[in-house]
Amino acid sequence: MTDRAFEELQRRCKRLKNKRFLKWFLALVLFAIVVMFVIFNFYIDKPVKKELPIKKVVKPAKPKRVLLKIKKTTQKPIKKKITKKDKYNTIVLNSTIVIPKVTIHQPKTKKLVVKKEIKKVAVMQKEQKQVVDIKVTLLKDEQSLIKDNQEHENFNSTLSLAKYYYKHSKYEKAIYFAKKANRYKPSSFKPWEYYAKSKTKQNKQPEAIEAIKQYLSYFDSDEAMKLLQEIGGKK
Amino acid sequence: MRDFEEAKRLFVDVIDAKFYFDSTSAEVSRYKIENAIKERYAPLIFLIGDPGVGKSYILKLISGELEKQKLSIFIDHPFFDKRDLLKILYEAKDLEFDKTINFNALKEKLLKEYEDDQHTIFIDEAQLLNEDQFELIRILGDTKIFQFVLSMHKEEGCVILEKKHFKSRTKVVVEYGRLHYNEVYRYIQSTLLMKNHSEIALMFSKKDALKITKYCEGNFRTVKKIVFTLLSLLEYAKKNGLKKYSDINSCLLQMSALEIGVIHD
Repeated sequence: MTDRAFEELQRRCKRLKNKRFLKWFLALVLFAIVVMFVIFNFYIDKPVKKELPIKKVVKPAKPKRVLLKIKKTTQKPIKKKITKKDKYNTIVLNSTIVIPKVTIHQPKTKKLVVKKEIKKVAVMQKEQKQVVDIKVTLLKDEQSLIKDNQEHENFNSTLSLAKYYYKHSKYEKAIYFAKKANRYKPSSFKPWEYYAKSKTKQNKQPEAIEAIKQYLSYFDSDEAMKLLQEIGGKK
Repeated sequence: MRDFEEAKRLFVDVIDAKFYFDSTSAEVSRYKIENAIKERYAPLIFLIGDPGVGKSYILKLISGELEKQKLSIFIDHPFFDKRDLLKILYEAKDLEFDKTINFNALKEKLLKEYEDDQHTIFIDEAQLLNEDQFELIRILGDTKIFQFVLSMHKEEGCVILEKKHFKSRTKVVVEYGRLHYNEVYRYIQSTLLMKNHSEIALMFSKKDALKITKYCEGNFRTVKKIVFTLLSLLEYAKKNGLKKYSDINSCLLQMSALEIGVIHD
């Protein structure tokens, strides 16, 4: 072994070491990237910014026009505008509630009757105002539930929406949220219950029965049996 | 005293029948071949394995042992003409080989001379034989007078075994495997201790043996080469007072592997 040969071997060995180090380093970096990618894509729950299928708040139905016509306008139209934005700026609610102008036509001949009619109209207007107030309150409830669901999308918040819509006879939405809630906790009967009940309300009892039977094929539940009998009886 | 100069000579790649290393592969192959020769149930015995695993060594060893009992011919180089084989067989029996007689007459005469006894012919590097030579081996094997032990490289051997000469023939195929790192460790230790190089033997750990096996892929010849180079490097380091290389380390092993060309930078 000569000096030159030894030195050459040393140099080659060093070069090989550097190459191996670089290979390992690159492999490690690649591995870290893959791991980070997997963690960010599969393990971290991102806040879902889904736009819920909620239509604009319904305008109150136009009150039936009073048959009688009066030249005088009893009340000025009230305009109320509700605009609300949540922090994600995802749902914007605009509603304009218009209390229609009521014109009463007073016949010239029957004064007493007219008085009675005026009274009737006043009562109707009062009732109408109350309806509007209730709707605004309901709107607030719905908004808070949606907001809650958006911020913390989980079984409870989704089920609450299903319950809310079922109670307020919005069966399509109730079904939608019941299905969504079921995804979080498939073993719970509650989403199935709202689904079945909503279907029943929509006169789709066979679908409701089918759903409960499907649930019963997986889980034993007295509650489900009871509801099945109930819906079956109705059918 | 560490005498690397003397120790490295123990790892020079030569076939020394006096020193037999009983690796598992060697023992298994030896047993199978000896058994096949003894039983004589197959006229053709094939020993296949990667180059440098120790086929030639085991073949020479068996041939040497068999020589004491009966006529055993060891051909360590391939013959170029089929007449050459007949010539070797004639010479082995001290018969005169008449070049003027035609091939078939030579063959008939040879069979008559050999028919009283059974003989084993060992051919090393048999993958170098051509079609005609293989055909002659097959014919001689079919006479049941001659038994052939052919050593071949694994890759070529597998192709040859698939050929029509041998495919349907009764044959014994023995595969010679590679060394395990424990065997490499035992080989280095036993070789050095045999010549009283205990201090050098102690320098080798099982971890080093594992690295050597990894670089050599369990090839016996390459193991010898790498240990030889390693001892040369240690010798150089000792002479030049290089403390960094006074003991076996990964760098020295890598340098040895680079030197013999089993790894590349």
